[in-house]
Amino acid sequence: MSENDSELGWKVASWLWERKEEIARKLVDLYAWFRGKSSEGEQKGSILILGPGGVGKTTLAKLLGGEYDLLLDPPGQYEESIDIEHYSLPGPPEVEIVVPPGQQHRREATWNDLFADIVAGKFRGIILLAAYGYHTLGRTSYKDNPLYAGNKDEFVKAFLAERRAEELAVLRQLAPHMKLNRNRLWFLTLVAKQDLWWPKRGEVEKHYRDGEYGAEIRQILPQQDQQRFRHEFVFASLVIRNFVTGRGEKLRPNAEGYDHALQVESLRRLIETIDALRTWEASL
Amino acid sequence: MNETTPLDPSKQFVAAVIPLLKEYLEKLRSIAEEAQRIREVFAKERLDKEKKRILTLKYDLLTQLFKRLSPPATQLAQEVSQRIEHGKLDELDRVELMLRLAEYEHALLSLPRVFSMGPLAA
Repeated sequence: MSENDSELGWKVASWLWERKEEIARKLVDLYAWFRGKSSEGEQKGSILILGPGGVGKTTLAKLLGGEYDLLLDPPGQYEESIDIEHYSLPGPPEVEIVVPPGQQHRREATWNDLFADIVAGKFRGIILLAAYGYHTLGRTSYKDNPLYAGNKDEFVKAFLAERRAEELAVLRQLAPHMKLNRNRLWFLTLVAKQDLWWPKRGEVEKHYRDGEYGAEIRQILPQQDQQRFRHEFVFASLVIRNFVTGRGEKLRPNAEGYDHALQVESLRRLIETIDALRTWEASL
Repeated sequence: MNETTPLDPSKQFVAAVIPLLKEYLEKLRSIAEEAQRIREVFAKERLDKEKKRILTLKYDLLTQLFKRLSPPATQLAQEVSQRIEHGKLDELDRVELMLRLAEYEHALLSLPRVFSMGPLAA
């Protein structure tokens, strides 16, 4: 971790510590749902988190499961997951969060059975994690990427565009299976890493809501009975950190003006949206 | 004067990592086979106390060896995976790395299942 990252980590920790009770209160409601403080009629079943590699799926699963403590755990190095991860939360009712690895070369081996499970109605909800292309590179240098032609800024631009196309490819891969599901299913698009794209937030929201991504979502919606399928968007920051490679190379600093109050506010929106989906699950 | 053209970094990576994947694939497989063999001997044969003690020790040492190997073995898988996903590679090199990584990860991910079967029966 660079000196800047370390300094940023301390600022985050200090800010969070000062507001620990407020944050804890907001998270408690969410954990209560996942841990089973559910009313009668609420749907049982697992939650699937999908997305390309490096978008933050494991961080999200740990955050939702209470394994990642905003107060105590500083943002760590990206560690690529090589197998399907299961986060089993104590019940009753038991809720499982399933997180397959996002790399393209592992998808066929790990995603196809999960797609069959979507069709079979084994999931209550799916979270597709995107990041406006800000997918963390793991144990590799950006200079080894075929998009790098000698200029870092040009590389970042090309990389972000390529990764956004990959996010869309994942949605297109997933969509047919959601259409075939006949059970009640919610679908959340969580666009993370808001701290990195904050100055372009208008453009980012437009990209997801009105661009090709939004068009794809709209293609799914009309075919689904609105009683059985619900989609929501959330734009958030799970952790605040610079855009760095696993080798510690800084590609972009986190956005100036994006502070920890905005981060917690984004997490509050995430929690409220998931809570709305919980309420929708229960309303028959 | 040496006229040999130096390998480009991606070729150097492939040349270095394939023997490593092969070597540790064999090592991981042999650990799994040996652990399974010991379990089978325990399950099927009537063993005297000394033989049981020796086999238990061997099994424990295999468990410890796997625990030591697991973090760097995972790191190797991550390094190769990132090259496949984001690195400059010839298509044939990419396919070869994908094949070798698939075998290697299968062996790496199978071992915790072998050891999660618990300690040997008394």
